[in-house]
Amino acid sequence: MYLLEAAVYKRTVAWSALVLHGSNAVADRLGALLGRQIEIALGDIPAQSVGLNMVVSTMLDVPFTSQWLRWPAIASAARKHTRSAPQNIVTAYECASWGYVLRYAKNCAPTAPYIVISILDLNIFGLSYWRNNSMWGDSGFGLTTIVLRCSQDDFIHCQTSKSANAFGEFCVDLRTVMTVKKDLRVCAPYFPPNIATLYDRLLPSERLLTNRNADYGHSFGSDPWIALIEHRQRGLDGPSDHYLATSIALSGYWCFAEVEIADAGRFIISEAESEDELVEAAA
Amino acid sequence: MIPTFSGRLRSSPYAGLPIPSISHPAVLTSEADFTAMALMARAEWAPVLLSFAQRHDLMRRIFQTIDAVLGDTLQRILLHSRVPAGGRMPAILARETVFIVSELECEIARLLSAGLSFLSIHEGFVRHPLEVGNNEVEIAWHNPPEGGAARFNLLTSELNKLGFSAPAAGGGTTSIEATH
Repeated sequence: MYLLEAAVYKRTVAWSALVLHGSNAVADRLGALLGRQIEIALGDIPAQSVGLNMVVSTMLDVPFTSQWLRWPAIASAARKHTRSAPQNIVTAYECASWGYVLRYAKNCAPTAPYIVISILDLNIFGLSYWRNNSMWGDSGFGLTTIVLRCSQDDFIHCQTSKSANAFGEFCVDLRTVMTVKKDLRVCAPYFPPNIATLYDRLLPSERLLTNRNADYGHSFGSDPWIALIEHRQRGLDGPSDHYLATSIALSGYWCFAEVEIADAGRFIISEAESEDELVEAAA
Repeated sequence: MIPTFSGRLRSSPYAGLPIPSISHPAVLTSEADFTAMALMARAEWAPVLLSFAQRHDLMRRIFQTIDAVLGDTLQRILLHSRVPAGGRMPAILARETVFIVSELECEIARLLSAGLSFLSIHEGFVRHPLEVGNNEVEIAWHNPPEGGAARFNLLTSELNKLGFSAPAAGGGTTSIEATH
């Protein structure tokens, strides 16, 4: 089972003013944001113990497609701030990308035991489409960095919808896993009540961690990790508790990973820097 | 030995067929939306030859062709790809032996060190004017088995039936590069 050694979430504001300073300024700032947070999440873990280190994103698609942003520039900027810079970025599986990275890592059998994944969903341009959408309600923007220690019996499950009702299929698949693994508590994606009502109808909802959509919005792939951070911070986890982190993508991909929270891990939520601070740093 | 296929679309393989409209285009409503699009706009772009759905369909056909010719020998496929939006990808792309990532080089090195036989695929099919690409596809076979070159020639022949031509002229080409 994956051991969650660290989960760090930082809220972000839109970078509408910073983008006017150009793509280099944005790449530098993204690298700094990623690198600094990876350092916090890693703590005392040596860089050589990290077998795979990736960034995933639902939202940062067109800036890369248009090459307004280039991954090598961000990775290069990140290296100035961390011993373990992210190696690549994955956007193809949207909110479920972190699960597909775990599946890939398991198949590659990295020689070092830790995996670092940074879930970067920052509305750089302040685009209206991403702020709010009838398909998921209000959005929450930020960066989550997780550090997982892998073992031989890690459970990672990735699935693609076969019908037009991906969310319904996701819930049914989740119910099946919850039926087999009866001791699991589940971190389900944060959705507004009109969507999350399906949880109450299809799942044993007493085993779900609280839906914090009202406070965080739908935070894309970060939702389950925010839930686990808060769970630890409130002292609600027990020594042998197991959790299922889950995410679903709008296009119909979803993932489940079974995790245990490390006793001495690092679990932090921090607020966003203001846009003025960002622009001052870029000047 | 790294057998490599380089091909390019010069016309749409779906010419004459109806194209369903995109059901949820991003709507620009604020000043920030227009500023963003102006920043990312490109002065020149390759011809848009595929819709989002057609790109998914073409990738499905490429993967089916690969499976038919090399399926029994491949352990992984790495695919460089761009915008995830535009509907669900075909199931054949989402399966466990495929990984879709933004930068191929680092993953090629990772899979080589794991000793796997795999394809890397770069595709640059342009679906809208903000998208970088030249309607090209490049496929390389890393760690092929003995006799791999002949099978890769067959793959080239089959891929060309999907509508690819060489980057210069004629059909898509195979080349054999030195090993890593």
